[in-house]
Amino acid sequence: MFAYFPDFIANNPGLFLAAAIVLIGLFGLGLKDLLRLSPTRLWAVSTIALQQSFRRRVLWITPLLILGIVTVCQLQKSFDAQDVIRQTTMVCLFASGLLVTLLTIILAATNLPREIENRVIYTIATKPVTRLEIVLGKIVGFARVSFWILFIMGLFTYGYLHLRNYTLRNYVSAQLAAPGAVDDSIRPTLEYYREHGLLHARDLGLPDSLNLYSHLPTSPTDRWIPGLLEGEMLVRFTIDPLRIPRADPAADPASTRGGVFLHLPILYRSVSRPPSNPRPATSPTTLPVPRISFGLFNANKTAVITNRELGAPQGIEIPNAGDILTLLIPPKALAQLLPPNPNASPADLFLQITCDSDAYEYSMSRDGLAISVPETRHRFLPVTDIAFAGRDGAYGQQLRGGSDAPNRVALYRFTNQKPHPTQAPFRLFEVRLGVERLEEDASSYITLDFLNRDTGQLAPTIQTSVETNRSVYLNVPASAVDSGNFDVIIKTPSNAWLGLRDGPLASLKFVKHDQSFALNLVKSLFIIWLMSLLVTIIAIFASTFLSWPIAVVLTVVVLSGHWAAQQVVDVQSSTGIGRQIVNDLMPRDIDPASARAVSSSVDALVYTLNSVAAILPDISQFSAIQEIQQGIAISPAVVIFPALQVTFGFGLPLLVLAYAFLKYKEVAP
Amino acid sequence: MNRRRSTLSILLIISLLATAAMSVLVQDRHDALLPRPRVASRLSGLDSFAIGLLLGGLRGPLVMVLWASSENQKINKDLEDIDTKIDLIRRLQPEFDSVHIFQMWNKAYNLSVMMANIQNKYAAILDGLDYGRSVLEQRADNLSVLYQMGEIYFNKLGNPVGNPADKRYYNARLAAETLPPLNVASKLQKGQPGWRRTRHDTLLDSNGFILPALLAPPSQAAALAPLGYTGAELQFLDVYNTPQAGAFPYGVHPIALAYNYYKRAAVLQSITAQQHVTIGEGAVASRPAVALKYWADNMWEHARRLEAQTLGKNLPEEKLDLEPLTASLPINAHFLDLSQNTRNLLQEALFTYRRATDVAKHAETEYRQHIATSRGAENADLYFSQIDSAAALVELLAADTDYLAAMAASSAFNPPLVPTAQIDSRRRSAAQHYRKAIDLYYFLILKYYTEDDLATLIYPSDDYNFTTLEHYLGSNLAARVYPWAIGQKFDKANIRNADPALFPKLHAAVTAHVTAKKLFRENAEDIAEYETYIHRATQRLAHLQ
Repeated sequence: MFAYFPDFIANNPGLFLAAAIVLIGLFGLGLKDLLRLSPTRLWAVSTIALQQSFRRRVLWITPLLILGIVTVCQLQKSFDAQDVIRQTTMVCLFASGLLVTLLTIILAATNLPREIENRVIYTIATKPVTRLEIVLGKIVGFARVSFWILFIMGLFTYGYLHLRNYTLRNYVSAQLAAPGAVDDSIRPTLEYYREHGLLHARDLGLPDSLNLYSHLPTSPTDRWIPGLLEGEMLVRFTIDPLRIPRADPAADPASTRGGVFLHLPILYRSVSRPPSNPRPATSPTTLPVPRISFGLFNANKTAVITNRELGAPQGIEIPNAGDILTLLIPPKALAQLLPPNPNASPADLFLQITCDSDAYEYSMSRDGLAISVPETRHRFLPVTDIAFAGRDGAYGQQLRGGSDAPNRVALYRFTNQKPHPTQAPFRLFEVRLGVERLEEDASSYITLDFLNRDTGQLAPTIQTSVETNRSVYLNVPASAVDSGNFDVIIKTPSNAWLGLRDGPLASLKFVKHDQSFALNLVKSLFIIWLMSLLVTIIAIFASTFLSWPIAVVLTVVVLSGHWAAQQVVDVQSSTGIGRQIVNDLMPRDIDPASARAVSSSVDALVYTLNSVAAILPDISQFSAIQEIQQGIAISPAVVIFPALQVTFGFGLPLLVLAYAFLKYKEVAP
Repeated sequence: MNRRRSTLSILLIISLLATAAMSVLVQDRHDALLPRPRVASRLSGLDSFAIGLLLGGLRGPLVMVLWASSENQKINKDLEDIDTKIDLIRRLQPEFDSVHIFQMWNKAYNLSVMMANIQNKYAAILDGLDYGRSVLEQRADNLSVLYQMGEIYFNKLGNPVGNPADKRYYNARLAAETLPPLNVASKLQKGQPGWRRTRHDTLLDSNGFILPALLAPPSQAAALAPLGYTGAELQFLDVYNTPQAGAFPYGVHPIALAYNYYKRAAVLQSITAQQHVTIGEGAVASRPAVALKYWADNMWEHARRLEAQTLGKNLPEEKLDLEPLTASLPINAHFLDLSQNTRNLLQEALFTYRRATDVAKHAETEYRQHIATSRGAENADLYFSQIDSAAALVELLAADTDYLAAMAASSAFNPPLVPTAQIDSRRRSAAQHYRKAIDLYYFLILKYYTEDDLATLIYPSDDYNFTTLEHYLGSNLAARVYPWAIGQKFDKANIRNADPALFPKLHAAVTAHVTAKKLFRENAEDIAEYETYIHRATQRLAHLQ
């Protein structure tokens, strides 16, 4: 639809539309009112709205809500003290947000229609108050109502959480003091609660990367993964389809035109088994031939080419060490990954390598790793470093431990993660991972070594027991991590499989600083207040041209529309889903015309829903609860700015539209 | 307008009050039949009506959201606040037994296996039991919930399939926790925020007797007392709670608790109109007997292990490997040493053997009582082998008890654990019981585990004659079988009436035929097991004669 517009407009139609509405509405239609805008009159209108709301006893709802929150908190079933605080925080903030949202919808959506119906609007409209001041005044007024409600609920939340924190710390202290009351596996966590309390706003440092190796690397090139499909190597390429000559359908099937070569410099070397786990006597004395399996994925993982498609379901033999394995990806296979399109932009392809035999460990070098075009000899080089990972499990990448795999390590790399400068001799880390399998009679514990890359200092090994999805806190000597550039090496001596994650849900996090909980609570309430502001604007906008019941409904629809559309169509892109539906759900013998009809209908529906979702506000950006209940400091850049963006990005145009509707609405004779 | 609004408001208030009054009336009537016990806190004891009122009709959507959310969390293995959600589901759907059964199973099975450490698995299983108790606080004597509690004690704690290490841990830990804690302060309060169940409730006093509160009949079940159901928490373990029976000085086994809850469910089924929501009446009725048999088996294994420890033997993993371990030891064999530790082990072994004997006897009685009922009579033949097996076990265990007591009496423990004067009487009793055990185990093999075609072939039945036998077996075997078989006429149906002295020979004849013809035996494992017991008894008998 937007193909004929300039790129900027075509890529950001919503932004363009919003800007157009604001500019035309304010500086075109409403320039006069804008120039006459009086803050005093605006504030007066807002005060009227505020007093009307108070007269309707809206503040009396807060004691009822507090009673409800306390009641619900009695029904909690928590697995430890921190979980109590987490659930209480969630209940308090959720209830506050729900109250403010519902109240705002009702107050704002009913205010203007009632005033028009009761002719109260005459007393305002006949005064030298512009329609812009009326609209803005009412928005500010209801925003002030939300503020006071959130202020009261914020005070209650703060006080109630501190009270719970106090009683729980005493309880934890009593537990720790009672002999035999606490298992050794949870004692360190309880001691942390006792010393540091339960109300936190941690500023967390996340690792840059997580790599899993068959043994600890001694140099940057000494990186190996185990066989038996337990490890994998991942690398990304960016392929420009325009550099690949299109296949000629009439050409010889053996022609390489339209295909590419994959060059893999795979290395392997035999490994000795630990004395506790010798090779079975029945195993052949000669080592098996090493093989690899590979997968080439597109960015959405909706298409993949593997060695099976190349006719090697058992894997591909690796040539002698030092030789490069070259594989042809035929045109037909490549077309699944990169559909031929004269206007296609460069696309990412991901290469995954796994290896079978556990008699070897495997590596790959960036030198020689490439995807090349046979006809033009153009080479696409990897755009990222090779990631050495573990197999995906239920809780992340799997790290094997115990006597069968004593050398396997996971390495978290932290870069530029300097803590808040203090004189404390120790820094805090949080570990939260999953334990997938544990042998009989074993307890699950891990060892962590902290290596300061700048100074080369290695901190004494820390050993701690772990449980699935339970946080464990560790004190690490500050000298090992204060430079901000350090590696953490994790091993598990237990006969267990651990699941480790990276990214925002990393299993190992560095607590750089513990900010004020009160400030974090204020930020959270601010986000809720921003959402109530957006709700106010939408409700007032709807009430300018609808009766109040319909305005309430429209407000709810606008707020939940984006979420509802995403529930129906949970995809990033609207292309390809129709074909996928036909392939997955339709009978195999469906005739092409019907398949095309179904596919295009689904694509159209997806496009419509995505378009609807694009123009409606995404209230999931108002993430007021997630971080604070986890005890994480709310980051302005990550959390608050997106909320501001949504509020003003949608709110401003709607505000201007509301002004425009009201300006031309007959409200007084 | 205002008058209309006022009228409407008054009507609404009157309706609410009337609803509340009706609810109180109905609840009073319900409590008259089945009163609810007082709950720990008024807020945490909010009933369905109160919560429904508070939610103003949103109970249904909230329940839907909670189910979807909790199941998603389980799939994603995210257990944060899942317990709160499950508890809210319980409060919002208190009338549905299927919900409670599912959630108890959900906690004790699904959520517990997500834990890596066995201590946390154990705690998660106890959470499942706590859920059941919470339901019973509101709906006392609910058959389905009681049965499910029995299932958790039986299948998760007492006899977890496939993991002997878990079983040993759970059995030992639960038995220890049913005894009074040694040094845990009473600062731990159930119901406090953050309190988490990490140990089982204490059930016994310092002498091993069940706490009186657990045997006191609550008032709500007074009407059922004449019918054999007092409603006491551990009513059906009271039979072991006497000085003569020995009480529970070493703690209560989880399968004992399973038996108690199964029995409560079975009795309720027989005397009230309650039925389990999913399980058939026959299964509920027969479960107590099954639990008793398993309890006896567990006590048997435990006693064997203790006996082996006192005699300085290394303990094998498998139960069957315990049988020959101490079988060949004479009465005057030396124990490991004369230390207090060995003495304590020996004392516990003797007690455990006695308890196992009593429980096996109880299992036999329970099976007989079951098949005497109309429900049990329908499938009585399924239980005959269980009854005979229990009877054989009673003899074997009684014999082992006497034998070990005779060994203890012969030992140099000072003061003696068993009076020396009892040596002879114990020996005689042991011999008598071993003989009976041997007969009964042979009988079991011949009646239940010998294939029909072999029985027809080899058991001397109506058409028996030497020529026929010679034809089928060959002259050598026939000559061996023939002399003692002349004049005998029995088959699998009436082999109980045969002279037990013939059983070993008959079994030998069958075995020889199988070996000669290289035949496959369906029940080879069971036969081997019983042969092991017979062999042990025979070896011991040799020392006694």
